[in-house]
Amino acid sequence: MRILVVEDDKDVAGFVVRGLREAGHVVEHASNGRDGLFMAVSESYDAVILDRMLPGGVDGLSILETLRAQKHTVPVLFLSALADVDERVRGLKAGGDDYLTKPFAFAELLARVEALARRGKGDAPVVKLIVEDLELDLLSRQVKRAGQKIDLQPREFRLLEYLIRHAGQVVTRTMLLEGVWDYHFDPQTNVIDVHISRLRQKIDKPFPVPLIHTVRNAGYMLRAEPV
Amino acid sequence: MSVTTDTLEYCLQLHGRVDEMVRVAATPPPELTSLATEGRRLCEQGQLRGGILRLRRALMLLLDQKHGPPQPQPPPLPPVDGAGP
Amino acid sequence: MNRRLVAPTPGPETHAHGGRGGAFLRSAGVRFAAIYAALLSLSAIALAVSLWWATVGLLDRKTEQEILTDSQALALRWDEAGLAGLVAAVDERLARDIEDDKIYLLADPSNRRISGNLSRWPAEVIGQKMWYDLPIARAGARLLSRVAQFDLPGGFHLLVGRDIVVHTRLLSLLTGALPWALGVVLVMAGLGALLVRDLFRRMLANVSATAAAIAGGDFTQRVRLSGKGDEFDQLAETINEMLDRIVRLMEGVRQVSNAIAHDLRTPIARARSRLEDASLHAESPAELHAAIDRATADLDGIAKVFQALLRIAEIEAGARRSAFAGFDLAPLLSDLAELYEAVAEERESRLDTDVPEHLPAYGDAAMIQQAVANLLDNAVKFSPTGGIVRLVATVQPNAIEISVIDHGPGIPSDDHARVTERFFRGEAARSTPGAGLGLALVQAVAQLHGGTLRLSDAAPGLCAVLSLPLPDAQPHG
Repeated sequence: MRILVVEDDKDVAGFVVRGLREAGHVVEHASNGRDGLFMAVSESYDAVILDRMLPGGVDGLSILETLRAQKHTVPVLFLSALADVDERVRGLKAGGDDYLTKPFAFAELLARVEALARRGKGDAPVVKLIVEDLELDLLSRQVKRAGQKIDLQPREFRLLEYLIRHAGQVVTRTMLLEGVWDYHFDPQTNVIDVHISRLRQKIDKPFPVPLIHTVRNAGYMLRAEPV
Repeated sequence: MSVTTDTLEYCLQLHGRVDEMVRVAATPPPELTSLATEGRRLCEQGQLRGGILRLRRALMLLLDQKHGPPQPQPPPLPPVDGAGP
Repeated sequence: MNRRLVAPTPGPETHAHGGRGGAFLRSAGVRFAAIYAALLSLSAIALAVSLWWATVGLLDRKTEQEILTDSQALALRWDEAGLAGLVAAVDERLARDIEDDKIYLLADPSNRRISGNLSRWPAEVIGQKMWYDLPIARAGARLLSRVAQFDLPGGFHLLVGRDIVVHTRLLSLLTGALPWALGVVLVMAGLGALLVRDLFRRMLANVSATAAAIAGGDFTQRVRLSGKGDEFDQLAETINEMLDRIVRLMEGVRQVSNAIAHDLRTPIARARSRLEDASLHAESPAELHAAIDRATADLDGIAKVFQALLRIAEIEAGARRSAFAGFDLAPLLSDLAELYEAVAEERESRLDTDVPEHLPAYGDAAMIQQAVANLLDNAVKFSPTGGIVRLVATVQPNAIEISVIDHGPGIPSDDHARVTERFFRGEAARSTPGAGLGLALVQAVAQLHGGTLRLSDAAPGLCAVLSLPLPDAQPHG
């Protein structure tokens, strides 16, 4: 995927660019707002990682507003030290697709950017999600694995749905907390792990091949092959 | 501008009128005669206002007696009779 | 007419002290005093004028009415009995003039006297429908008489008048009394002005002395109350409340900076020594990686603490009040319960929920969510194996109470007050993970909503009650 990183901090930018390239992406970097805006407008990217506070007179928020005013729909992830709830809301209201506060773990950033970039790719409405022998019927809200019906609580269903929609990608605990529960705070106890393990009891345990995998230092991934 | 109803001349004129009416009257009350006499005396002593006041009061008493039954003693300064005779 | 009044000059204060320069005039106390004096003078003048109208004016109008009535009666006589009749009527009226205050004059077309008690037609009377105040001499006394001219058929004129001696006497009485009254008003105004200024200065001196002391760093000073409960006391109370809040905030800042210094130094030191140790002594890349990962985890922990501190500061600053709205608390609580039920189950304890079907609340839903999550997190964390944690929501007359009860080790009642301080960790919490910020956040959220966080002993365990004012009890705007 082609990703633009607009970030003025040399260390952070270098770290992000290196990491994304290692993950197999084509990455371009702008170190100030003007260049960032120019590149974002003139080239085509799958995702843009945008710092809020930038030198060069053009900050991240105005870059995004300009893009959206020109009907550019490229997914944008804010990467900012402005962590207030209000700042986050401002970023998302301006048209941002995701908001990650510094300091951050690279795994979190990678997972979110990949999720964003992939989401941008024609998400036709579907009624059935299928991974291997696991079937999720969104209309009847039924789950089957290897033809066998599995009873799930509503929340477990949504958790599984989120995992299947991101099948093959890493999803972090925070992404799950935000995407499935719509919570934007850090529950100190690792509640997500508990819920995943409950889900595993129902989805994976009775079957020979596990689908939900733990990705060390990152989160979880749903796919047939082991990580 | 001077008023002409504060002169000795007017006083005497009033006294003449009262005197005339007393003479004509059948039964002049005695206090009336004395009121008239006192009025004239005061005028002649130069106290024109007091004299004229007494003569005017006497005249009022006489006119009231002539026109109707005797009325209770009027207050010292009765309100003016706006309607006139 | 002689209706004249001498107006007292308002604002004697300003003129009297004008020479002392602008600073004196800029004093609000002096300004208020001047306004007071001016107002008092103005009201005195208003009183005098209305008094004048009520007495002299009334008498004047009565006199004028009498003259009009009299003249109409005389005009009637003219109609009935002609000139001779009118002459007789005038003579009759003069003869009966016991009050000795009437003036009549009947004149022919060339203004020559026919009858009446004026020697000649006064030159100043020149037409009908006008009132004239004519100076006359009656029995040696100089008087004013109000007169009017009435024209009769055939060019004859009639002048009818009344002495306005009461009017004249009253006028002289009033003008005689006026200087005295003026003096009294000025003295009263001056005294009152001084009083007002002193009151003003005393009150302001009180407030400004306190403000100066605070500005100088003495935060124990408060504005004195007079105890009268008046507006000044209300102002003083408001100022004192403001100062109390400032002191609390400053105390909080001091506490936090101390806590940061003490509590964050340890993990930072740990991460630092790990990295340095790895740099100096690591013998294999694997060892180096492991050390770096551990240090990164340490730093993540520090970042989390900062995040929590900032969140609390954000809440305490009250900036989030703009996000207040009405919402149903019941589904919010059930969702949280569901989230933590699984955790409780995994620890072989249980989470029981007792929440009404609907709980209309007013506030910042996200904040309340986080506060309740913190309470549940604590309760589940400290609950013993097989223990029961209860989440109960009830509607009180003017508040919604959310209680979280566990049967863990609890918190000694001595620590109840301190447990909401940042970084405070009870004895029992020493061995569990956490930075000691959870209850501080709950407390901040409660305060943001005008509610309270109450802790009590669940014997054994802890009962935490978050009380949020009901939508109706919330002040609007």
